[in-house]
Amino acid sequence: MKKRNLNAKTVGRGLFHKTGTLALGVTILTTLIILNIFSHLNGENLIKQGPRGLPPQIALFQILLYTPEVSQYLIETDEWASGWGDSEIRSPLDSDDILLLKNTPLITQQIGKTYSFRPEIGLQDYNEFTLNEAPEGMSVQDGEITWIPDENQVGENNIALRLSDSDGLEYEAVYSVIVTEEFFPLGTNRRGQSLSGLIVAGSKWTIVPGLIAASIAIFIGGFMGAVSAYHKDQLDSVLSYIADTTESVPALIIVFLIAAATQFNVYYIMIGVGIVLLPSVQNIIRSNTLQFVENQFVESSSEIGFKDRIILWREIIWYNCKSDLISLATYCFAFSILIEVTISYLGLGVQIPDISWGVLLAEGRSSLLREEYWMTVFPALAITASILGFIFLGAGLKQKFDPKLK
Amino acid sequence: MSTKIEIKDLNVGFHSDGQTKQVLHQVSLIVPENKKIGIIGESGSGKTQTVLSILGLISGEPGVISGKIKYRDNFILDTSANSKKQWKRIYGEKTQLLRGHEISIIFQDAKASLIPYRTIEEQAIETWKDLNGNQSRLEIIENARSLLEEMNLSDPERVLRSYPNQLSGGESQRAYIMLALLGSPSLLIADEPTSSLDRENADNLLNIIKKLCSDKKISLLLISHDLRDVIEHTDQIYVLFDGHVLEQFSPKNRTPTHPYTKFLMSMVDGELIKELKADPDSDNSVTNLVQNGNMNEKYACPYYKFCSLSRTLSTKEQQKCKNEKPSLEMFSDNNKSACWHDK
Amino acid sequence: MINQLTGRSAWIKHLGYSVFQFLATMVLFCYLITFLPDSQLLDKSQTELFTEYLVILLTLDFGYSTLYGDPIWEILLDAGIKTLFLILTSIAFIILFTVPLSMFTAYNNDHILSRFLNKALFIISSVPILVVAIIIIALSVSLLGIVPELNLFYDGSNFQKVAVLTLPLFAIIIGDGILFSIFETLQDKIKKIKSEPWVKGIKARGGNINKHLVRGITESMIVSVTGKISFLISGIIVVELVFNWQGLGFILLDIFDQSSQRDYALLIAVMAFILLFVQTSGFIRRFTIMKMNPEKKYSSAV
Repeated sequence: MKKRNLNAKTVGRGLFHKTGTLALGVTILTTLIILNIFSHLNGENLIKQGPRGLPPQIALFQILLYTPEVSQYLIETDEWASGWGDSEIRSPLDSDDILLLKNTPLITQQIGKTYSFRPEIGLQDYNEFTLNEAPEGMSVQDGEITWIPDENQVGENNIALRLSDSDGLEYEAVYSVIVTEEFFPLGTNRRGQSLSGLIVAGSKWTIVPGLIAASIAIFIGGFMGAVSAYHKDQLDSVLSYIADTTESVPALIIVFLIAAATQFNVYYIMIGVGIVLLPSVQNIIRSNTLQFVENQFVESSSEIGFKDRIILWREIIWYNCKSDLISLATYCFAFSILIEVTISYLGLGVQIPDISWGVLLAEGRSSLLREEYWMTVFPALAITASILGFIFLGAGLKQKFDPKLK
Repeated sequence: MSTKIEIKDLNVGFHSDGQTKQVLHQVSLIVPENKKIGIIGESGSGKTQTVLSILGLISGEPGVISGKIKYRDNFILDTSANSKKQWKRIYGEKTQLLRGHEISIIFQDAKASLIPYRTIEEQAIETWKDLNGNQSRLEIIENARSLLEEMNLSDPERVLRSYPNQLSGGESQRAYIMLALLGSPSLLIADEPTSSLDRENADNLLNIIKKLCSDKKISLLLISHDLRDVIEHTDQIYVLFDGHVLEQFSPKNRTPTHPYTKFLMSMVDGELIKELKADPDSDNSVTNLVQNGNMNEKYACPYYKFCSLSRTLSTKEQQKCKNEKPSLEMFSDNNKSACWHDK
Repeated sequence: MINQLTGRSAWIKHLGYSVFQFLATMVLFCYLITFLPDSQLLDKSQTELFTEYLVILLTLDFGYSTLYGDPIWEILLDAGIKTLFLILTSIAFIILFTVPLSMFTAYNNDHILSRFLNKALFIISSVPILVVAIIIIALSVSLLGIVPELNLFYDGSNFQKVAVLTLPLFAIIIGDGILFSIFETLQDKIKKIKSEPWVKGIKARGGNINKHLVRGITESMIVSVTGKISFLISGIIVVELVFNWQGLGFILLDIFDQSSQRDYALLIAVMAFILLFVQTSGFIRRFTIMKMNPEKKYSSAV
């Protein structure tokens, strides 16, 4: 994937407010850590099971992410069928011709929670609507439908609203409400698993993989960069060449290779991610250190003695590269999440039935075409928020620790 | 005597943090034909802004607030004549015509002022083309070569074929001056050309510039923060402090009388402090050595706060300094000092 | 250090460097793929496999694909065109967007829109390409009613054709920071040029600084885009998969999806092709730096 040019002093320039970005980053990081702990402790038990393909039960989300189907009919009395059973003829109406309900009803609710819906009728001069078909306990008062479902009503419940307009024509709007035992705030996926539980479970791939990649990239890359700067004429060319070559291979291809070689072991793949990130760290540390080290210094330091030389090294590298190292580290985390999501989506990472946000995206893809957006939107939001969280965290920390700004 | 440049009552300012900071206050200056004029002052005193105004190179808003500038008896700037939009337009047009053709300016750090990726030759040709000249390539190069020769360069051909990073400091300076003189200007403005040089090299450079200007009948306007530059090499010196002209004198005719100039003169024999800043609150400011009155108050005389002469005055005389602004127009001859009490 | 190589035969040296790097990477790749566990190849030792792959690589005799059945060169050509199309058009789009935007922000530094653009682009660019691609597909389905897969191109209306071709491009350039990175580089470069002493000198001489500005922008653009080509390709691989374009990336995933008896010849061929792109752009990059900065020949600085 693409690596941001971190040497550009974007965030060091104070692109965003320092405390604001830091606060945001810390908040997101803490949330991720908490979710991680939950996920590691409870594992898959967190994921509640429910009806398949359930839209979110939080009203706002349902309205944004799902348009329920409301069937509409024109009711005419069949003059010829009196006494022979059903005397009504129902002709389906297109929603382009007439819209009986202008607002969308909530179509799922948990038992014990109040279901209320105030329909906005799309007819002019209509009389009050009545419930032609409704589950037990549902009532209409002042144009508002209220109902508290109980455990016997779990499952699909049909609701039919009978309306008539001033011309005496009768219409019926029919939809069904799915009642669940558990609360599914974000809905469920195609296999009936609660999306909120899935997202918590998938969060376990946000911290630990990043840790692996960041450690490799920072420690090895930093070491190589510093050595490059110190021994300019000898090792520099070799190390720079290696960095150049590593950078020339598209990151995803290296990741694919490792994925195939290790049978999709995400932790090994993260080692590969660390290798991919090495050159960036190496280059930045090298250019930072070069500014502060002159060759004479190296010569004179050899007179000082081995231990002192290490101390001096640490002082120089740590003091000057501190801010860069921190923002590079957080970037490694962000990048790891990105890679994990991408390869899981492509089937080369976390494998079903194991959960990861990338897997959720892959499963949600086919649902997208059916206009079931929530299965994609929530994982996507979680991914974006995590990545942005790490990037902002890095930005805030970098501004905080930048010695030039002190 | 005819004048080349006449600046009258120029006011220049810039917006910053919601306020307008005025950097030039009623600055007036005359450069007569074939004379060498010097402007002396600390950094931040407004020297560069003064000369940039001649060529319309001031960047920032609002820039020129009011004033008049004449070049050879033609107004290139006259804020009283027309509407703002009109005088701004005329100012822009006229200065554009002057740049490089009639008036050239050279700044400090010659090497950084040369185009890094072109040889000196190519830069000369490009400069000439920009001036809409119609000489042939060979003629331009010959022109450039002879100019370099006049500046005592022993192998001008090599210099012409080189890139700036191949040249020594002295060579790049001469190349830079050559480019400025290609268009045969009648006035050369040199903005602190010696600021990064030691005394010996500074004198060398100034001698070269002086010789060229004399030979080619070019007037010279030399800016420096080092009094030694202008005392030896110019006919008349303007002393600028915080955007005000405090004194105007000919170094050959008389010694300066304004307390500020005298103070600067006293530094000449001793170590000249680099990094002078005109900010009175700055620790580095030369003028921070003496403080009178309240640092935050504004007095009529801009130099009052730092003036050592004022300490020897009576309270009544000090009141005059505080309340009435001394101006240069008090005298009729060419040596003027904006001080009530320096005679 | 390679940038210090300049002179009459410099371009040959740069070419040699590219060729050497290409060969070195391909040889290393051939060695690495011998490590892929493959139940069907247990009878051959790693050395045998390695030699086999080397021979395929050096003789360019790829033969027929065991995955698709067609001659590998044909597959390469067909897929290569699609991937090349994505690469070239996304570069064009990047230039189209970043040049005017960066010029605007560089010239109007304090304008509120400049600061907003910087922040907005930074945030938008942080979104991973996968998410951007999926969002684009979702929007396309819900707002335009079309699924922007490549198959639609062949029998869709003109509008659909345009949508199919342009929507992936937006995904490529928006995600993963490429747009912001290049925008920022250009913006910085323009500001830097404008404040250079020699630019001020040209202005003071009454000269025209525009051609220097153009030169600086062009150099910056070429250098930064070619420097990011491997990132671009990573993103294009993802986009090919999400939008169902059967380009080189798509084929790559197909090969890696196989768990045994992979089509190694095709793998080597595709990898070589991709690396060819990367090395070509690397060569262009070094060459441009060399040509645009002839004075570096004589510089003693690093």
